[in-house]
Amino acid sequence: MKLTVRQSGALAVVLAGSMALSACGDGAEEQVGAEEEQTLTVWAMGEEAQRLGAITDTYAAEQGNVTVEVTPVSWENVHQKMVAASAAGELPDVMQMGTTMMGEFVELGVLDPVDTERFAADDFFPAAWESAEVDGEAYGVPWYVDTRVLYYRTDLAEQAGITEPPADWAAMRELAAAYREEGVRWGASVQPGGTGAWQTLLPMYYSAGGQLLDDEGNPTLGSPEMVETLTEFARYFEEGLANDSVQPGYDVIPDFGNGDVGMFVSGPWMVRNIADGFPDLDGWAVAPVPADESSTSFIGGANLVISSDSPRKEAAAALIEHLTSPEQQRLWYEESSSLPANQAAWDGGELADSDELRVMRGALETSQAVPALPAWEELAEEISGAMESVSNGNATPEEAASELQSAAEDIVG
Amino acid sequence: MSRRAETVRRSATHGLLSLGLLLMTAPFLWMALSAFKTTEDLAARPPVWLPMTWTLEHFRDLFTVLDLPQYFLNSVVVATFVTAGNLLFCSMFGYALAKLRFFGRRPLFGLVLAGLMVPANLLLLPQFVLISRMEMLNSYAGLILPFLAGAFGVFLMRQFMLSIPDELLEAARIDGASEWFIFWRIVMPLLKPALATLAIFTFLGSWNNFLWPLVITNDPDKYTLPVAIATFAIDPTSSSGSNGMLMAGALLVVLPVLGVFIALQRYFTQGIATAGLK
Amino acid sequence: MTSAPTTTMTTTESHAPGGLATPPPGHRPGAARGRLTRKHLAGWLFSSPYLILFATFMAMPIVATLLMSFTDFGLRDITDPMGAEFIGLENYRELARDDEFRTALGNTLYFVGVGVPLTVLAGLVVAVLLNRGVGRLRTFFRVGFYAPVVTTIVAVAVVWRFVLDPYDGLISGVLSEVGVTSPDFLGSQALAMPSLIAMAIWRNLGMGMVIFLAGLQSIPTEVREAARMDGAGPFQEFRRITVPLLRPTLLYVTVITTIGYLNVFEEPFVMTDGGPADSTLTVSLLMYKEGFDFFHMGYASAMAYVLLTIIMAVTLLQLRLLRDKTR
Repeated sequence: MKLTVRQSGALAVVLAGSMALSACGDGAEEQVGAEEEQTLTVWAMGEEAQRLGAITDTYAAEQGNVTVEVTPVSWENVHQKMVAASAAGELPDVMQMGTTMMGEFVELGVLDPVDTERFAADDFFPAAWESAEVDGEAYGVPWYVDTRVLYYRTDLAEQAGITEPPADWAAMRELAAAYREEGVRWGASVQPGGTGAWQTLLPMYYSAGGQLLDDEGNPTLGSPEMVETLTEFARYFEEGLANDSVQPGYDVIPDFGNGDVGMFVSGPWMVRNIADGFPDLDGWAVAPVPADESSTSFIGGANLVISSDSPRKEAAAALIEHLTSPEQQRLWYEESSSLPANQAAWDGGELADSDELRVMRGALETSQAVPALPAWEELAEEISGAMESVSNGNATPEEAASELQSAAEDIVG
Repeated sequence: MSRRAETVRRSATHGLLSLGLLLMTAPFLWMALSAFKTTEDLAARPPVWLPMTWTLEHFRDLFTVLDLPQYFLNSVVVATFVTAGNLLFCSMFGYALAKLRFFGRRPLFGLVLAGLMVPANLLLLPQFVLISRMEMLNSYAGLILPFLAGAFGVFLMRQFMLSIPDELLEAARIDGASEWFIFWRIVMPLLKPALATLAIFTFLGSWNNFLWPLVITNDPDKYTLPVAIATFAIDPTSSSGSNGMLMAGALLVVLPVLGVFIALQRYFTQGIATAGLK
Repeated sequence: MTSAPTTTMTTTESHAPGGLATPPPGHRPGAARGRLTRKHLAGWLFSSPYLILFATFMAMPIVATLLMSFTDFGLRDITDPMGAEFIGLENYRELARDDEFRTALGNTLYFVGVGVPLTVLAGLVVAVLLNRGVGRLRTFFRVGFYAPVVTTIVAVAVVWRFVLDPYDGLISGVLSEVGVTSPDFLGSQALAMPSLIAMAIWRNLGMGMVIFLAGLQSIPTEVREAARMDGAGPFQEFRRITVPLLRPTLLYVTVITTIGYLNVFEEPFVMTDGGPADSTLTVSLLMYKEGFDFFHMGYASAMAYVLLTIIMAVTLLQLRLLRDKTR
């Protein structure tokens, strides 16, 4: 049944502010040329917005006719803010958008497809580019990337007689057990469930050769690889190698630095966090995620997108082109420690020299993206829920995997 | 009652309250002390209460990244108008509901209760679209108007007005006083404790309001203090590093609210004049 | 007064030009009807500023949300609200079948049932103790008890995690002194909710205290003294004088706390995110997830209205039980 006239009227009055606004923006008939006098509005997250502001100021000065206004938005609430702005047709020209949010905003129809004449997919890490693709069409240009790697205490490992980073799953569990022998409270920190736990499982699942979706886009979460991954995951709790209690907002750094946790898998920002929290700690290193079939991590980070309502698409694309060029990407790394999405940026300077960064680059080249699904958040929560039911013993890996699959079919299908 | 019994009672009261006080203030003290801790102290396990080294670095960082005076001003303007509006409008409506037997009073009170119950989170989106249609995004008007009169305040004022004897107002009416005169000159002065209470809560609510200013302001010049601090000081990619800045920010946000509380709490004892009424 | 037609009000307006700003000529002997209409007019004039603001900024969004609850309003419809399909009561039927919602409802009622009486009582006791005078330290104590209310939720979360941490926490430290192993408060399905209730009491006690302190001022000192003369002990005084005379305030605090607790969101949001295994998932938290994380706005709206209905029922019951005589 469709809405009655009156109901539609009321809905329209209150909610449909966007209709009129987006209707006049959509056609793009009023595009402003790149060379005309104009002000670009950009939304970026927190601290990054500050640093970005400095860069865009230089850019604006070079261009002469373009002014760039960068608005900082907090990470915590960027989602709500962008959804609300989409509803009212109030999005800025350019936005920084987390890779896992892409599917949702493409579905909303507020993002402009990327001009592939201008931006070449090959310039970027393949998985980073894929994170912005829906049905073969790209909606964002990768700006910076992150990936998951293994952080482990080399000093404590040496005490236990282990000098090599764990290469595969069995080695990782052995190392965890060895840490325990040395009196480390938890051999590894493995998130047993709760918000964001999927980030723990996904590198394992990818390494086991698993896929979230098949080629037709149907979920494949009940796969044998998922059962295998969940089984391995469960061992950490069965064998007492990891804490099975969900600790929301848990910060691993203090425990890692104090020797209560031997290793954990996380993103590149942890390099800085460890250095900040424990400047005197030397005995730690970074390694690729331990392999099963392969060592395959997942790629995160942020893309730059253009709002489909923007009347300044030419200038917006020019700005993005500037920000994703190798020189600017290298500069951006120096400014913010964010890893460049443009592969050419890695060929010189500190990015090519540091040990940790070499590990990261290797991981990035083999990483896989999270597919740009509109309902990603929902699916992610289901994955985390399945993990929790396995880690607290409410379900066997087989049961959890098959339940996860049927939930995923409802969500994605 | 004997003097000794009195002394015992006093010390018991003191003892109980002091114990409670310790429990109650611990988190606040934690926040205050953490603001002065170095990043290393913040990461210590088990956590330490007192900073090993006192540092102002988090405050310095905050002042460098933030245009604090501007955000402070925005918050003050918004909270002041919202508080003033609530004091006046909620009292007026509360007076009508409690003391004027007019047609439609009961359903209106029901409306107030309903307004109190609606989960605010869910109204966010329609309210946002409305404000954007009224072209009030990025404006003080957009920050203030939706909060100018809250159901909470009406309900509070109504309850307090109920305790004022009707005879007092009737007497004034017979003497020919207008309703406005009765409200403004007789009722309001009697309600100082209630007004102080409402002012404290409204100011706090407005000052700490986060989601709404976050959503309707895109221009950093209109950010309120909590939004600015959350935007610049919370970086999920640097947990322990920014915790200090967060705590310093939280402390800065809270101090004015505490100031308002300290300034107004004395009215809780000044209402005693009411006793002489009847 | 029930028969007073609205038209009378409009006619009286001419009698009192300028409304309230210039006081209407009040005393008119024999004009009983005039006085009556004056009362209606005054009532509406006093109400109008609030009502105008309410109608503008609340009523429309409330209606929009209600309409949304009868549609399948989802992500796609954000930019095109007309695309939402009217599905009647389907969302409500779905809710009745939803196990997660039932769990959330049960958790919420648990939170309210245990939390509200304890919070109100704690606030009242503290207010009464503070009111009977702690001398010059009065301000100091008041500020202390109010401190949790003003402390930012982020700081609260950090500290409470430290308090409850089963390894390095405050409680575990005390327990280990006496040789007891601390339970894993937030990680245990049985203890997570009680921990959140304790936290909520701690956070909200100060608010009740402030309102009670203000309310206590309206109890004439003579009444108290008279009771003491009659030999009433502190407990009797509390039961026979304080509580009855504080009734409107008590009612207010109870109703406000109940409504607040039925909407409980922040505590589970920052502390547990509903876990472990949904044991602290509340209706508001579920609604937030459905509405803003997953964007099932239609479904979330239906949830909001079910919650609203429950809140209304509970409030009416409380108003009746605590007998708001003046209604």
